[in-house]
Amino acid sequence: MRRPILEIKNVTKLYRDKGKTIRALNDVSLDLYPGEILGLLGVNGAGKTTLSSIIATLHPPTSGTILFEGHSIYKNIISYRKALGLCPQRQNLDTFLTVRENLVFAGKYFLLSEQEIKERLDILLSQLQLTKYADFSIRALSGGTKQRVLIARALMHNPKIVILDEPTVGLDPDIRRSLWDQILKLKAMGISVILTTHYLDEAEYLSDRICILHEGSIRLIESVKALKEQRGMQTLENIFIELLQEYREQEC
Amino acid sequence: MLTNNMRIFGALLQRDIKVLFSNFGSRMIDNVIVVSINVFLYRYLAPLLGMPAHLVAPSYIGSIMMPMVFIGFSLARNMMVDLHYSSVIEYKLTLPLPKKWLFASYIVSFMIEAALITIPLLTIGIFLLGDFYVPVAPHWFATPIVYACSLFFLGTFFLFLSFNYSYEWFEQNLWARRLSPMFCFSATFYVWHRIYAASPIFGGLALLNPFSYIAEGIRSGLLGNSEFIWVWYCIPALLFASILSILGLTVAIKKRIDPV
Repeated sequence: MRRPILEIKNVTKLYRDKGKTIRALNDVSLDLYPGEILGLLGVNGAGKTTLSSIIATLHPPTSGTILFEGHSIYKNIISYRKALGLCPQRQNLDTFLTVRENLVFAGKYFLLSEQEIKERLDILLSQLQLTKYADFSIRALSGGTKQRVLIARALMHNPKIVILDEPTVGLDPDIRRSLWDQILKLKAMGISVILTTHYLDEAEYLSDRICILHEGSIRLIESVKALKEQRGMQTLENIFIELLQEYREQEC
Repeated sequence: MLTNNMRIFGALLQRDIKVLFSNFGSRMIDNVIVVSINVFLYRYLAPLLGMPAHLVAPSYIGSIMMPMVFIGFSLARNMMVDLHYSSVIEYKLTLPLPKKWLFASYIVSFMIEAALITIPLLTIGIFLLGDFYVPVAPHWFATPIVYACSLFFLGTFFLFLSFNYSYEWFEQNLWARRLSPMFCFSATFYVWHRIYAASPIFGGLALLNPFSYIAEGIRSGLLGNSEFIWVWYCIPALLFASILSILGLTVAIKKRIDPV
């Protein structure tokens, strides 16, 4: 039996906002397997970004825990972070540096040797078709190119898990397709991917399994194929809309 | 573990120094203008307006606070813009580095930048003051310590401001409601003993203000006159103010970004 690389166990996140307590995540549990692409779906405010930022160790959960290779990430957060690559929704590259400098410093921040940095830089610039932009300032790049640099930065230290938060939002269709190919290459390399997206065609094309979050709770974790068979529908979009209606009716 | 933390910390500083040197000339020109105006005011104009000669050097030395505060404000503003728009800090918070080290890197980076810019300016300014600079019993050993403590306090203080206030409040109200009163009710522009002699209330208020200890500490260090608050009083006062800033910063960071 395959062992999960990441186990999210009963994670709850509460926020205080203007005296009110908001439950952003409610007892969320899920596993991520090596080399798997897990699509995290949900409407705005469902808790996708909260969950991915807790997995990325940006925020602590209010309760629950996360195990990486069987050990709590909070007991040795530094070694977990070395195994994690984050490609956030906001393009937060260092705009004072060039593409090459961004990647070189990413390598230094993750303790790679000079030789490793050089090797990874060459591989990633070539893989993500960034070689001709290597000495461009970040400010001079288009949105799609910046997105590829973000992915390259997340991969610089050879992580085992990559979190992609809305990686193709606002990009042209051809660039989206090209990024999809890059994401599938990650899977081929054995990297586990958590993909947060609003685009259901993207989730359908890329994900091995999808996880639907609704109002902070996981409502469903299933492979796209099994879901289509169960529901007798052709597209994930139709399934998702039907599921949302069901959830809203249940709430009523 | 410690070695790894130091390597990442070093890489963060290396990046900041690289960015600093990419526009260092321009930054120096800005601050040379400020210093030139101050030298002109204190060396030439103030004596013509009746300022006693022995107050020229202390007044000029106090004015070095201005570029220090400008650089501190720039640190705070950059952090504020990052928190609000660019979120580079989110990336840095996922580095394999304890968050205390990350925030320490912001403070040390500020200290390096402020020292690289203000120490040459202070030296040039003192040189230009000529005969007006008359050190009585300078504390050459204590001066670098009080300078470092001053920069450390300003680093923690401005980082605290950036995390503690909303972007809108920071942009619209910070100078008017925080920094201007702190400048005016301090011994930055006037020697503290003179303020106290003129008004014990204002003198007392200035003692509650860390900016006073920066100006007076550097004056006492470089001039050594008994007219200033003794440099060895200023150092613990600045360290105490830094501890308060760090406590405030810790609470503000938790409130603002709730990091692991």
